[in-house]
Amino acid sequence: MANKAVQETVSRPAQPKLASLVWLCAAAWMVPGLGHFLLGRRWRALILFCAIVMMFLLGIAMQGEFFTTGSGSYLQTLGYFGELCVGLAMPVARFFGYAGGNPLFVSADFGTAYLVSAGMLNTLSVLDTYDIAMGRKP
Amino acid sequence: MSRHEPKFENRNSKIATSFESRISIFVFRVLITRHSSLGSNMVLSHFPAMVLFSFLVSVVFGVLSKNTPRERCLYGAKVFVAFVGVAVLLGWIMYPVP
Repeated sequence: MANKAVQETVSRPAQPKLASLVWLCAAAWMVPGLGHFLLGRRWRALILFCAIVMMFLLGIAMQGEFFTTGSGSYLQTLGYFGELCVGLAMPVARFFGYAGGNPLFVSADFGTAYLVSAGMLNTLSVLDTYDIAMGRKP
Repeated sequence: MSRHEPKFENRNSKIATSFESRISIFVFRVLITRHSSLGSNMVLSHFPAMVLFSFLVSVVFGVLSKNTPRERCLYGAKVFVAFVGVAVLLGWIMYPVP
């Protein structure tokens, strides 16, 4: 009984420090797939990066809207945070002159959905990075 | 002219003269002048947009949910078929609705 408890204690992976966890999650948020890359899961990192960035770029190509926080609408504020979850891609797009799309464009609604979904998928990626760092997943 | 040979003889010049910095300035200028075309007009109808969206989401779901490559591919394929299948089914269910 005591041996079993000792074995269980020995086999549990060491908990990472809080600072490294925060850094990993921040890195995973900033660049899609970077958290997985830092944890050594390179193929997963590459696939996640390609899929999420492609979704974001397609959203821009379809003139998707960049939400703002000053609109007064709760849904638009949620949409803003959803798009912000994609990381640095949104401020970089703004820096290179993407003002937020044309809402009257034919595919603009699809583009907006793509932009928000890219953020949501990156959120899942950040949570997965956390689980891998905590040893809950391989 | 070698790659790293400075263009100007005055070494105290503050203007970037190395090959790498000239390339980076050129790329930056191209990006800045093309900023108006960054949101290029891509028109997709509903079905291709949905299929493309389903594919990208399925890829991410497959990668995040399963542990082995085979399981990821199978799960991703199932999710993709479910996305598209349910969307088509809902479309037909809503077809009689005015």
